[in-house]
Amino acid sequence: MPYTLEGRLLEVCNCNIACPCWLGEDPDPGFCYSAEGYRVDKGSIDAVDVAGLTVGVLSDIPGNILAGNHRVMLIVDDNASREQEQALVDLFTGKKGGPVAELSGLWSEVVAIERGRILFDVNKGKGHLEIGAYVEADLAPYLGPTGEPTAWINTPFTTVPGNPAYVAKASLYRNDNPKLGIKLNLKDHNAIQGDFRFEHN
Amino acid sequence: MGYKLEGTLLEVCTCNILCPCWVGEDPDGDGTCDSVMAWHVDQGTVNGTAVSGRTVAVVTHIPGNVLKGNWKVALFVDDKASDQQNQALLDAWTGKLGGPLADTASLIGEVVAVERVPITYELDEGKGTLKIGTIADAEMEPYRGPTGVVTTLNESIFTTIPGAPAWVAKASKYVRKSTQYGLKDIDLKGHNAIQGSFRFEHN
Repeated sequence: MPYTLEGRLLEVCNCNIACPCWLGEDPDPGFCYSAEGYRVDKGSIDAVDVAGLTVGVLSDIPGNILAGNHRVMLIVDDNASREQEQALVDLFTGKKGGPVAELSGLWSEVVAIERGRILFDVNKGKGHLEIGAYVEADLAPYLGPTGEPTAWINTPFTTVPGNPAYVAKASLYRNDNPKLGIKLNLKDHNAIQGDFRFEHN
Repeated sequence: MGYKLEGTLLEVCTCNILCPCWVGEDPDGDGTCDSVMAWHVDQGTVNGTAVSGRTVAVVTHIPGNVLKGNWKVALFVDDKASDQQNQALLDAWTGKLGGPLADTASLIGEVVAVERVPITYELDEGKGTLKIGTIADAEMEPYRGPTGVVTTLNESIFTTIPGAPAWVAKASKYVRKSTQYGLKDIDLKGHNAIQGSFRFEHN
């Protein structure tokens, strides 16, 4: 039963380009204020179809990502029905076990859970993300000499081995979140877009 | 005439993981980069001279963005090179023969030394050892995905072989004794190392 989900993941943060967290290293400034969007392209949780919905995770990560103690806020796409919302909240808070519970196992505090308008218009590291009134980001990938986007493949945390994680730069990363005590307005910092496959029975 | 060279290159430097220079950004840390780069020719010729198996290395200080140039460089050719190979490699790497290697050479502001020394280049997919005489010594291990496959960076701006991966590694050891060239000594653990492939051709 529990879940099978496939989709795209975008992470924007205050690290320099090519956020070291993606390789399990410490964040560049020593801490990381990140905004992550998980866009489900296909999938269900306990038979509740959640395709097309996005969950935003806003994080205050005090050190190495694997050392945990993240303070987070969850924003669930306001296009979700009540049933979909409950399924997504249960999933992201670890109640359904599996790989997503390993992620939430790194959290020490969920400061708030809210519904909000989420815009996830991101493909191959290019696009636009908005999470409620808190976060706004514009990003574009680095390109190789033939115009193909620069990508990491087989990073330690990949959930889809062999698939690219596009290495991008956020020309804008605004994060204004009094609940987490974060206020950022950055140019030209890290953005990475990968994909995910989360499964648990 | 000209050259046709294929092989792999290794860059180990003072940057954190991952060296921003590989996507054209400024070095992290203090904005400068003290690096060692080595090009190992697997197969190729320069002006008709076969140079397969030979290695060329530079020990360098890069004062800012890699593309802005002004690199201060000590240049080394491996001592297994014959006199003819040595001359051919120097002509190629100092830019005299034009082409893509001249583009790289144009970033050099000052060559402080040119020497022949024993070079050990034992590297495969970001794993191994690089030694340049008694001047530089580095050991590295690549990052790996959950299935054990080496983490790669693909389609970076400096790739000379579209689609070929660069292996993303961490140097457990990066020691450089280079004050005799006016280049600072380094003794670091856990910093950036990247191995890539190259193909340089010019007629």
